[in-house]
Amino acid sequence: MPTATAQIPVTGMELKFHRGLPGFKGANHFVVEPLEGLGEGVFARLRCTDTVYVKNSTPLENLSFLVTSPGILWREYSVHVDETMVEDLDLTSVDDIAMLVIIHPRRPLSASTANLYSPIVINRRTGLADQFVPSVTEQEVGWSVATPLPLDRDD
Amino acid sequence: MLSLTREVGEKIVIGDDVIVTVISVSANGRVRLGIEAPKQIRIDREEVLDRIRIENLESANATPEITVDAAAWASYGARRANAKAKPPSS
Repeated sequence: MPTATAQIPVTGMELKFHRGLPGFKGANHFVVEPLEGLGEGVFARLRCTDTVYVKNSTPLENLSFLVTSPGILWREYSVHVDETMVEDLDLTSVDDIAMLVIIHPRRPLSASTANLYSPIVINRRTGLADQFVPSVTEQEVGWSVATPLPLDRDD
Repeated sequence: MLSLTREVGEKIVIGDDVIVTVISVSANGRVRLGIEAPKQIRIDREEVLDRIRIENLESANATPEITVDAAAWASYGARRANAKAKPPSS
């Protein structure tokens, strides 16, 4: 196998979330930006370009998330995307699909987690995206909202 | 809160294009609903969506802090970028 450098396939893309992102009102447009000098290729920044509103809070101008492609850190990762999602995102083949997962950074880094239960599913042809909300529990899916980052002895 | 009594097979119309149908009610009190709505409307179980909402909010709040630990994230990322083609470490 050739030496592959990790890469997030949708870096540079503009994403449109018709239904917004749970927890934020008005969060419909995002860009995926490389994180120069900070885990480039493994991590990216998902930055919202809209002004968003959070319940009982002032409008938010700078909403952004640390994200990764789940396959980079969890090679065995897979999720069953339901028919509704396939239809809503106009997914016509497996090649259309890209996924990102949101990381919850904590200190120390080894305590950080990622939401593998509810990945962001993207149509890489059109930029249509949505956070998948499974209709079954975390136990049934086999992935948690707060899955620990994989660590080895150097972490 | 508006409270309506409906029987199995009866519907409730919300606005112009949301229709909720009572499909069945089991002996143990479980109610099965059918919902027809435009696709831009989210329809999810409340407890599941709340968990995801809270996780999204907390993740967004914690994200600016990665600059504090930038060196740690950079070295973690670099190790993973290079480890990708290697077999998993034990």
